[in-house]
Amino acid sequence: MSLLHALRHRLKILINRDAYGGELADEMRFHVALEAEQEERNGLSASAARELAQRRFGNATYHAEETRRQTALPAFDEIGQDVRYAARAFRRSPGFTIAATLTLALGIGATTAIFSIVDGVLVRGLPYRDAERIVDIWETSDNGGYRLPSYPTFKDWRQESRSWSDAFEEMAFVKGVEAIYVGDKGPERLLASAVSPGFFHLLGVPPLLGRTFLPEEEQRGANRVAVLSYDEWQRRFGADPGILGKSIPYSGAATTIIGVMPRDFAYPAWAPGQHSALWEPIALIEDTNPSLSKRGVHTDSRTIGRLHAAADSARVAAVMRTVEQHLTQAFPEEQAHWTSVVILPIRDELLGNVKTTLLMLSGAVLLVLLLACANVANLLLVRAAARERELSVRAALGAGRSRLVRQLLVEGLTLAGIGGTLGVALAVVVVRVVRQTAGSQLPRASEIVVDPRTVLFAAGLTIFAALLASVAPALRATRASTLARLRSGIHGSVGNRRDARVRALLVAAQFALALVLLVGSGLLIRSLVRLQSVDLGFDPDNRVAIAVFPPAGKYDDPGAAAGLYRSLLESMAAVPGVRDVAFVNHLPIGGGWVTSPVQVEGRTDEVTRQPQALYRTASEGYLRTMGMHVARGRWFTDADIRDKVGFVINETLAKQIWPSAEALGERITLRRSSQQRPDYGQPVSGVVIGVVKDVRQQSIGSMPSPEVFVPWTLEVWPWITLVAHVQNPSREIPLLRRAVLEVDPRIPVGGTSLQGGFVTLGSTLSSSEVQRRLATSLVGFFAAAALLLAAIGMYGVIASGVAQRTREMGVRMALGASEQRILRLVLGEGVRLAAVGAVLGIAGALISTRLIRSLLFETVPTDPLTFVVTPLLLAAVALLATYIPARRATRLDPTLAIRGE
Amino acid sequence: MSPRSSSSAELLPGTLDMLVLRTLTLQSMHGYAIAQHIRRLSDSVLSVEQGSLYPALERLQHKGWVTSKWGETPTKRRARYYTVTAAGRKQLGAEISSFDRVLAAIQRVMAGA
Repeated sequence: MSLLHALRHRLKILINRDAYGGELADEMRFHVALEAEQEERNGLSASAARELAQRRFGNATYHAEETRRQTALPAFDEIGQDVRYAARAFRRSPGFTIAATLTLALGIGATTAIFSIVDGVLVRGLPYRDAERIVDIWETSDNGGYRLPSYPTFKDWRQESRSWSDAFEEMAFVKGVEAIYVGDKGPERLLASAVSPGFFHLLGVPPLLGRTFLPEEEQRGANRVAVLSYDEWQRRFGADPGILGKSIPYSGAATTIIGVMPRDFAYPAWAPGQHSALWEPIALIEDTNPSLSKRGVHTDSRTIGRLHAAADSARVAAVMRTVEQHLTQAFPEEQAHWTSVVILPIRDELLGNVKTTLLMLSGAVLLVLLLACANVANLLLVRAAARERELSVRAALGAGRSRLVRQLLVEGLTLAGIGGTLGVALAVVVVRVVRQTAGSQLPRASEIVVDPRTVLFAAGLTIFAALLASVAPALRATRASTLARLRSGIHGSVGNRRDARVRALLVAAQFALALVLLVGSGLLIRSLVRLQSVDLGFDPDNRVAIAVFPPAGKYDDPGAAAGLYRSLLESMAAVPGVRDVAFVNHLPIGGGWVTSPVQVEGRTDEVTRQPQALYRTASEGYLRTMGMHVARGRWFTDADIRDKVGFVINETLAKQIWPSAEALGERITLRRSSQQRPDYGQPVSGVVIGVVKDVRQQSIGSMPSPEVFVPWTLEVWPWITLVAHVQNPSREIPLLRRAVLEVDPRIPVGGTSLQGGFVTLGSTLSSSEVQRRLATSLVGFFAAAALLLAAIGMYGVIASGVAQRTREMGVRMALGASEQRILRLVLGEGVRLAAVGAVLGIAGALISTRLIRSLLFETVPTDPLTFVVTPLLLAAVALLATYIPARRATRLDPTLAIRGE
Repeated sequence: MSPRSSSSAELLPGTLDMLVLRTLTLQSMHGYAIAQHIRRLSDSVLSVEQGSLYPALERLQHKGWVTSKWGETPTKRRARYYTVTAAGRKQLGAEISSFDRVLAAIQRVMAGA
C-alpha cells in the first residue's frame, strides 16, 4: 500500500503547492517555539532560549528548500525557466522560429478549418431523432423508373398501414408551396411546406418555442396556423418570443403562429440553400391545390418514412410490393408497372455528394499536417545539430538527460503553441471565406463555426504536432552517446550520419506526400477545365435573367398574366442595349424543372410507360435570346405562338421516341404541368414542328434529358423567367429593373438571386459548380502548401548537409574539383531524394486517387498527363530548392573551409 | 562551507530515516517530539541539525512509508502528526538487518585493530 500513500501524498502537494509551503513553515516555527519553551523552563531567558532553539534547528530556509526538493516534482519555476529559455533561444534564431511556427500554423490552421466544416456538416449528424432510420420513399417501376409518390398514393398507403407496419413505424408527406409576405419592401415570395399529420412526430424534433399542430388544426376548414422556421423567426420577427399566438398575413390570409422550430431542423430543403420558411397543415390546401388530388403526376413533395428498427431495404421492397399491387388493381391507368418502392436515407438527400468531397478534403488536409510535422521535426533536428555545443555545456554543468529532453519538449510545445494560435486565427478566416462563397451550396452551412470543440481539437493537434515534431529530435540530441561525444568536444560529420539519414528520409516522405496532393489537385483541375469546355448548347455570355412572380390578385387569371408578360417583354425590349428578350417557365441549370409524359399518336403505350420530358413553356424569341440552335424543322414563329400549332422537342427526345424515323410532323400529347392551375394534368396535343440541339439542363456535367418546348400561350405559366441578351450586363441591369417596375412597381427586382433579382447566366453557371470549384481550390491550396513545405524541407537538409561537409568540400576543391563537379555533387543528392519521394508518391497517388473517382468529370484517376506533369513540377521545385545551397557550396574558399571549424 | 556537509557528515547515510521510522513505531508524533525522542535515545551523541528532520520526513512520505495529518497537541496547539505505514515498518525491518550487518562488520574491524 506504500504506492497508494505515496500517490495520495504527491497529489496533495500537486493540487495545493502554496498551502504545502505555508504548512511546512508553520510546522517549523512550531518546532522552534516548542524547543525555546523547553529551554526557558530550563531557566534560560526568553531571548537566549529562542537563539539556542534556532541554532539547534539550523538554517530554516535551507531545510525548507531541501524538503521541497524531496517532492521531486519539477518546480514550476523550473518550467518557467525552460519557457523563458526557449523564448530567448527563439529570439536568437528568428529564421528557424518563423519557418517552424508558420509551418505549424499552416498545418494546424488548415486541419482545424476542414475539421470545422466536416464537424458542422457531417459529424454532428442530422438533428432528427434516430436520423439513420428516416428515409425518402420513391416509387419504382418494373422498367427501372423512379417517381415521387403522389398525395393520393400516400393517402392510400396510410390506409394500408397494417400491411407495412413491420417495415415502417410511420410515414408522412410534405409538399412544397409558396407563401407571400407583404412587408415594407413590397411582396416577398417564400418557400413553405404543407405537411401531413405526423410529420413533426416522425422527424422527432420538439419545437424551440410553442408547439406543433393539434389534430383539430389538421382538419379541412380549420383556422390557419403555422410553425415558423428559426431563420424566418430571426429575420422577420427579430427572434421575438411574443410571436406565438400572433396573427400574421401570410399569402393574404390571417395565419396564427403556434410554434418555432430550432435552427438546424430545416427540412426539407426544396432547393440547395432554400429551406422552408414555415410549415402549415396540408389539410388547409388539400381542396385548393389541384396537384394534390391527382395520381401519378409529379409534384414538389417528399414522402418520408421512419424505418422499423429491424427493417432493411429488402424488407421494405417486399412489403411495399403488396401494397403497390393493390393500387395497380384499383388504379390501372396511373399505377400500372409501378410495382414497388426504393428508400433513400434522408442523410443522402440532405448531404448528397458533399460527403465524398469532405472526406477527400479531410484526407488532403491530414497529409498537409503530416508534412508540416515532418518539416518541423526536420527543422528541430537541424537546430539540435547546430546547438550541440550549447547542449554539451548544459550537460557538463550537470543538467540531467530528463532536464534536457524537457527543455527541448518545452521548446517544441512553445513553438506549437504559437503555431496553434496562429492556426486557429487562420481557421477562422478560412471558415468565414468558405461560408461566404459556398453558404448556399453547402448543406447545413450555418452549422460551420470555429467553436470550443474546434479549438479543443486544435489544441489536441498542437500537442500531437509538438510531440511528433520534437520527441525524436529531443531524444536524439540527448542520447547518452551523443552527450558523451559532445562532452569530449568532438564535432564532426561521423556521428551525424544517422541524423542525416533520418532527415533525408523525412524529406523523401515529404515529397511523396506532396506528390499525392499534387496529383489529386491536378485531376480535379483537369475535371474543372473539361467541365468549362463542355458545349452547353446555349450561350451564357451577356445574358441576364430574372424570375417574375406576378403580385397576387390582379394577375391570377391566365389572361391577365399573359397581358403582364407581354407588357414586360415590350418594356424590356425597349431598353437601349438590349438585343433580344424572351421568357420561359424554367431556365436551364438551377432554374427548376417539371416533367410531362409524352404520348405518341398511334402508339398504345400505357401512360406509365411513356417517356417523361422536361416541360418548358417558351416565348417566340427564346431560342435566339439563349443562343440555342435548330437541328431540323423550325422554332416557334409569332404565328406559331399565337395559333398554338405544336411543339418543339430536343434531339434526345427525338432519338428516344423515333430512333430511326423523322420526328417532324408527328403528333404528340402532353399533360399540362402547372401544379397551381385547375387544368393541371389535362392532355394537350400538337405536332412536332421542330427539333432543337440539346442543352445541358440540370448541371454542366450531367447529360441532356428529353425536353419539350410548348408555346407559352398554350399554358400561361403562373410565373416566368425573363432572359435578355444585352451588350453590357452591368450597364443594362439597372435599366432593366426600371423597365420592369414601370410595368408594375410591386414586382420585386432588387434581389441578388434569380428569384426577385437580375443575375447573369454566367453567375448561375458558376454557382452551380461552386462546391466543385471550392473543393478544387482548397485541394490546390493544400497541394501548393505541401509543395512549399517539401521545398523548405529539401532546402534545409541540403543546406545543412553542405554546412556540415564544408571541410570535405574544401578538400575536394583543393584537390581540383571544378565548380561544376561540386554543383553536380550537391544537386545529385537533392535529385536522389526527390526521385525516391516521387516513386513513393506515384504509388500512393495511384491508390488514393481512386477514392475520388466520383468527384472527377471526364477524367480517369490515372490520367496520364497529370501523372507526367506533376512529378516534373515536383522535380523542378526540388532542383530549385537544392540549387541555392549547391551554389553556396561552389563559392566556398577552400583554405577557409579546410581551416574553419 | 555549506550547512549540508557540516550536518550530514555526522550520520551514516540513511541513518536518520531509520531513526525516524524506529521512533514512529512507538506512536504517532509531531516533528519536535520525534527530534526530542531521537536526542534522548541516542543520549545526544547523534546530534544533527533538527531542521534536517523535515527533508527526511518528506522523503519518507514521498516513498509512502510515513503518512501525516494535522491534529492538536494536548495543550491545544495545531501540529502535524506523523504515522508509520505498514510498508514503513517492513522497510524498517529490512534496514535494521542491513544496518546490523554493517555495524557487525565495523565492530569486527575495530576489535581486530
